[in-house]
Parts: sequence; C-alpha cells; structure tokens
Amino acid sequence: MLQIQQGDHQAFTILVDRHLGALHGFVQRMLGNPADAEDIVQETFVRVWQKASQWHPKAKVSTWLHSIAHNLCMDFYRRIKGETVDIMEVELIDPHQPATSRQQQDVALQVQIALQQLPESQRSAIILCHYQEMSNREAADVLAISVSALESLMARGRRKLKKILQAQSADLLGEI
Amino acid sequence: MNLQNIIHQHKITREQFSQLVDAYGGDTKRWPIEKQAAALKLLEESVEARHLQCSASNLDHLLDSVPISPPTAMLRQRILTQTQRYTEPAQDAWQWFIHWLMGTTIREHFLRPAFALMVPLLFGMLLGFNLADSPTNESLAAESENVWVEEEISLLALGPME
Repeated sequence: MLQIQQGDHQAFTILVDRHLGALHGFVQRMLGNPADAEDIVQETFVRVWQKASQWHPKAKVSTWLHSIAHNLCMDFYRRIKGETVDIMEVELIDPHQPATSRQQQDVALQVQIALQQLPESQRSAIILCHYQEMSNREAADVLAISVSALESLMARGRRKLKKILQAQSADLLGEI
Repeated sequence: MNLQNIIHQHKITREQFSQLVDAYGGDTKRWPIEKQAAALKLLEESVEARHLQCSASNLDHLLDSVPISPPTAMLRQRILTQTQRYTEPAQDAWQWFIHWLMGTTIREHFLRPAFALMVPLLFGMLLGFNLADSPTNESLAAESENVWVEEEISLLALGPME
C-alpha cells in the first residue's frame, strides 16, 4: 500500500489481483446482480488508486477496501431507491455453473432472493461475517459500528432470513 | 493466571449461548475467540445447546448453497486501464486535439479529420451569407454623402439673417 501511495502502478496491479475475487464476491452478494457488481468493484479500485494517500498504515487493507465497496453499495441503493425491483429479476449468481441437481439450484435461488429481502445493514453484516469470513471486529470496522451492534444486526438478519425461507418452503430449513 | 485460563474458566449461560449462535451461526470457527472455549464446554454438556447449534447450522448450509461467479477478465483489464489513465501526465490542449483528431478506430481516422475540415468551411459559408445580407460599402458611402449634403444645406439656410 505504501508503494501505491507513491504512485507505483505495478504494486496496484498486485493489489487488484490479490483482492479482486473477494471484493467482487462481496459486492455481488450485496447487490445480487453481477453486472452492477462489476461497475461497483471497478469504481472501488479506482477510488483506492486515487485516494491511496488516505489509507492509514494501522488499517487492514482488506477492511479498507471492503468499507469503500460497502459505501459505494449504499450509494447505489440510494440511487435506485424508489425504483421497482422485480423479485424475478434477481439472478442466480452463475446460472451457467453446473448444479448437482435442479432442486439445489432452486434452493440457492430462494436463499439469494431471501438475502436480497433483508435490510441493507443486516445483509452487510451477514455477508461480511459469513461469506467474507471476517472477524467481528473487522466487520464492525467496515460498517463503522460497535461489535455489539454488529451482533445485533446479524442475529436479527438471521432470524428474518429463517422466517422468509420458512414461509417460502416449510421443509427448507428442517426443524427450527 | 493467563488469558487462556480466564477464557476456560469463564462460564456461558444458555441465554448467552443462544445469542451467540443466533448471531454467528452453528460453525464453532466463526464464534469470537474469547467465547469459544466456554461455548464448546456448554455444547458438550447440554443437549439443548446442541439442538440450538444444529438449528443454526441448517441456515449456514443454506447460505453456503448460494454460488458465486468469478470476476471476468475484462473487469481486471478495465480497472487497470482506467487507473493507468490517471497516472499519465496531463496533455496540453494542442496535444489533446491532435490525439482526438487521429482517433482510435479506422472509422474515426477518416471521420474526425473530415469533420475538422468541415468546421472552417461551414464557418466561412455562414460568414459569407451574413455579409451578403448586410448593406455594402458603396451604399454606406452614398448614404453618408447624402447626410453631409443635407447638413450643408441646413447650415446655409440657418445662417445669420442680417
């Protein structure tokens, strides 16, 4: 990061290669739409390059990258607020990926739709801790909240997710 | 007494355990490190705790079932190209114009110089039409001569009446 701050584009290329996959996964799960996700990820890295001087050596690079991407996702939500989103438009992230069975694909689609129905803050908390495998401290830093607030968001999010999935299909979650 | 002992001796209630799995799910690796030992101990002792963990794990498995597509190679290229552009030194206006004039595609190689030639041509034509509509120099001279003669006549007429 220090090299990037000095304008070293080669160092920036290494950073992109190291974090592109994880960041793309995060944004894709946040938005549920691969096309919009690519634009947000591109904008995130452009901001990293332009504002590298704002990075503080104490901050973990991945946490800083995720917080920029998270803010851009929030801006995106604010922009599209009010627009009607057709639930059928939520894509299964990779429809071409070989699924072991049709049923598994249906379950994955239902979970993805349920995730998109969560409030943004709850979704962010679950994605950061579950999918991005961040510690509670790191996830709280990304969202700029306390650890206890993060735990509350995750608990409420998971409860709501269960409720949605149970309403969709009684046998999906087994006995809860 | 070191931290490890403190963690081991710390007890967790059923309520706290429930809150833990509610937030972090059933995978023990995702639980905060400072609560892991006490939670695992309760898990060994309590059937109810195991039931709560199993229930939370069901949701974890469902979350894991959602696939993710990798980023396209084009995305990486787009990011690097766009950021590279910011590193290049700023061009002056003339360099920018030449760069623009040359274009980047075959179509632009022809269309942009043609457009650049058309602009002064159109400007010249527009100027020519405007001049044709305005009064000529001769008519302006004749008009000013008439005004001069009229002024002379009026001066003679208004001379002293003595």
